[in-house]
Amino acid sequence: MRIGVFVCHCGTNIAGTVDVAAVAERALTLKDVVHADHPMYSCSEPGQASIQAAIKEKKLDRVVVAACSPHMHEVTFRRCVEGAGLNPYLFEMANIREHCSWIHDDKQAATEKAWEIIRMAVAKVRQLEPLYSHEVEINKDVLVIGGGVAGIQAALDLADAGLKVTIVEKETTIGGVMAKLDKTFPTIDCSACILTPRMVDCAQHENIELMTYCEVEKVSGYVGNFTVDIRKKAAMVDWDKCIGCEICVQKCPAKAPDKFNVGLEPTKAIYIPFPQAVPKRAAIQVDYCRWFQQGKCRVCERVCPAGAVDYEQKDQIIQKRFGAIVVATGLEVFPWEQYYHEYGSGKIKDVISGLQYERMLNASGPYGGHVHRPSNGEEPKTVVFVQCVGSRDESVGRPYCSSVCCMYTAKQALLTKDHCGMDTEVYVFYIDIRATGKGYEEFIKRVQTEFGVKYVRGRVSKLYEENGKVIVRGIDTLLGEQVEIAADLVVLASGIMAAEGAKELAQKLNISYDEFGFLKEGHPKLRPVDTNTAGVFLAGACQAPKDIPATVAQASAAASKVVGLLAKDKLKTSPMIAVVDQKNCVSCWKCIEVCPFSAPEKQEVRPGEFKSHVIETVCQGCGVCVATCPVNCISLKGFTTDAILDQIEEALLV
Amino acid sequence: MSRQDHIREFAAQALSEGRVDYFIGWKEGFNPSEVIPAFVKEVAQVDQLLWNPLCHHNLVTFLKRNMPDPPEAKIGVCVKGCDSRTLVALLQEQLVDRERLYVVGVPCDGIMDRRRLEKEFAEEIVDIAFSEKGQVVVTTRSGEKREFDQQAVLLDMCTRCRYPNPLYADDMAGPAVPEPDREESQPDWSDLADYEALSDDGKQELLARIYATCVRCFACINVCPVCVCWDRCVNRSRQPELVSQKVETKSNLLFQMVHMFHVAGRCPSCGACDRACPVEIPLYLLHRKMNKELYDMFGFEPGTKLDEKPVFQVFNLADQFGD
Repeated sequence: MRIGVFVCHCGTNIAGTVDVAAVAERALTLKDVVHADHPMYSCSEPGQASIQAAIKEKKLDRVVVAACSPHMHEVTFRRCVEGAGLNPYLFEMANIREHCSWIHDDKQAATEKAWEIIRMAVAKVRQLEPLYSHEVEINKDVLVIGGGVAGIQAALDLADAGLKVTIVEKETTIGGVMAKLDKTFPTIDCSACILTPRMVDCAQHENIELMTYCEVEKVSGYVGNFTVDIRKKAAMVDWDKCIGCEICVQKCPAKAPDKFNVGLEPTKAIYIPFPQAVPKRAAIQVDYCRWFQQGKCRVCERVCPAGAVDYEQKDQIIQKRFGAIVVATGLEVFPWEQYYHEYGSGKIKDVISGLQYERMLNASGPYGGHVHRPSNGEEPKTVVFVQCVGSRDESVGRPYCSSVCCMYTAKQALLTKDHCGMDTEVYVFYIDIRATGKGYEEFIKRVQTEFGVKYVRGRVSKLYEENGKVIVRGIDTLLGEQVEIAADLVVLASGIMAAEGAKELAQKLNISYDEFGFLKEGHPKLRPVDTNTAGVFLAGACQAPKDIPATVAQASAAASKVVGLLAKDKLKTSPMIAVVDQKNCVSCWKCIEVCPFSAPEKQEVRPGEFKSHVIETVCQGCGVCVATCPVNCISLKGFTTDAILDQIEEALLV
Repeated sequence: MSRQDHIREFAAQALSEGRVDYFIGWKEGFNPSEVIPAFVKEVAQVDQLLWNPLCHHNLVTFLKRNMPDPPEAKIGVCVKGCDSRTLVALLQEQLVDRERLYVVGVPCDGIMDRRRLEKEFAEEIVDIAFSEKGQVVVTTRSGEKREFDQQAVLLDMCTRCRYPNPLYADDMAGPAVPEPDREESQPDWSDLADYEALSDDGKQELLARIYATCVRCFACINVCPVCVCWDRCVNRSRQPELVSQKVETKSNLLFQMVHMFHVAGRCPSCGACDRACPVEIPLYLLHRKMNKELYDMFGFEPGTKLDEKPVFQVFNLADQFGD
């Protein structure tokens, strides 16, 4: 065996704390090590060339690179040694940067630790065997979870690329939060006017299947071959028959809270969220329906001209197969009522959220676009906007910036002047103005100067009712003074949260999420739309608060990633998979129970005698079965028991 | 008809009808305080079978994988309440073939602690007689006779029993005995109080002390009904040598830990290991402690529901740990 060891300087990242030359020198004393070097940057072109040259000249058959985390460059070096004719799995990486130089400052001790890490890697590399990849067929259909603007954009891009796309949306219509918005900043173009044509495109595109009022129940499989169980919720209306005429909605006697209009006014128990809904189909909210609750009524059934109402409908589970998944579950508005008791906990009628105000401004909203005070219906003369409600506030557990509130508040302030007249007094309480997008700063300036919206830098400490007004008490930190404004209407710029159920979905998809429920990208800079599960991509506000341009950009990015993935007909699988030593298998089947990918199966080795067998193309090499097997007869290629024991022995050897 | 008569009748029927190739029950042992497992193959032998409060063996052990001989044999077996839980545990994991089993459930009033009984007397016991009323008359070699209340010399685990009636059986040897309302009552973990009161050091010291005498005879592992690896047991593995073969306290502890963790979440606490240990190590203690943790964390009792999976083989989003 001829092993080469390369101890990387990584500039001063490693060499600053570890005496790399000395470690490399010492490595030569190890058994089987015939070459040791310390390149300045192993991953650079000359660095890789020196490794390849050494493999050829010194006839190396194993390589250890001591550098950064394998997460960073393992793939790089595998490719490098493969280029020199070595099997890429006869390579081992020793992490002496993240695990050593970056976290220590005592050079002598860090050098000693690096030496130990390298010794362990050499012990392991001796046990490695050449491994070879398999190829698997891939399914080219794509699942898009979420039918907001992110999901719509991703689906259209994918469908235009010729891929079959299924959009799963939990509400009865696609459109998401953008469909609720009135105008969009900074151009003040109508949200619905730009979104609804896209929604219709989705419905009409031959490559797109809309599955609204559906939820993802279960996900199994792996990149290229996901199997997804989709729950089609019972709408109690046969959507093949429903024509969306809304007669049932008009005649329904039962009121129900209107999620689409953010609770401003009630809707009916049978409802269609908004006139431009796609698909425009009715659904019954069973909890509010008189027939389901009291056993009387059936009015909708009688008036439906299409005979579509079906009270017997049940949830259905539909199983589909996909090659890739785009997650676009979007956002939810921070429930400020539960946290901000100083703002009246939602009990003051004339204090509303930003999204409610959006519906109030909207021409197809419950008030036909007429701005009025919820308490008495009068047009407000003084409107106060409060920013950062549920954003940048650690006291409510939301330290992050919701990124859109500065802009939407400015837009709503402008629209207030537009709807109620230029003589309306409009104040905005802010901490900082964050207007970093294209044309955003100019927009804010226009709102302040052209429209005369008064910006007060400071937080609002209390809102309370007095003589039919809402008293806004706050501080102007620029003047260093207390301010008190008697407002007719107060709009709270409530922040953005991850959508309800995003965490549970992430668990089903085996992807990570942060403490706030936002889904985690593969790498914050270099893999912003990937996840740590191959074949699952992110688009839009499910990843972090985003405005519409950023959401659409990310959706297109996710779509192009999927197209890139599915452009191949076959996928190479990792050869680092589990393998069963069948002569030691005791057929206890625990491997089958614990495998998240259903890779192990019962194989009849002799008539009536079954042993476990891991299907190579299905195994993802997670190692759960290896840890579970009570007789230790499953091993993970590239991580064999012998290799790990040798590593441990080397570590304990003094 | 007594439970013993029921067992004999069910065995005779099953054998004569050819429903089973053999029937496993209990029979008289080599001394009066010992009952041993019986493998009855012919109707003429069914009179060997007996039932009394000394029938402590968990016969489900003989159904373990690789044990039935020949492998396709149809087997009849007697189970007490606790034994039935081990059978359910094996069924949950598909480790026994339900189709080839004929199970006779025996409602149980509690099993006597043979060792405690023997220690009561300086001399050899020559006869143990049981009365219908739950009295036990013990005669020693010198003719000394003493009467006990059966309930006074029960195994400690039997005094806390929540499952005296078999949970799974094809036929029942007699009417059910009264059992606690399991919905209402909690298991009695008071036997763990002393152990739990110890400090970490105290626990370590205790475990070191009790496992110091282990001779690695594998009796606990061989007798365990849910320990199914046989000669492939990692405790026996020489290449790689994962557990040292040295008989010393530290390795003994690791040896027992392997057993405990491999049956964690699957061990229904039948106590067979504890009774089988020739050097009387209280093996039951750690298995009980593990079961208490599982009960507190997941409300899980191993081997109680046929349609349930062992707790460590399921992933449940609702499970919460720590704070």
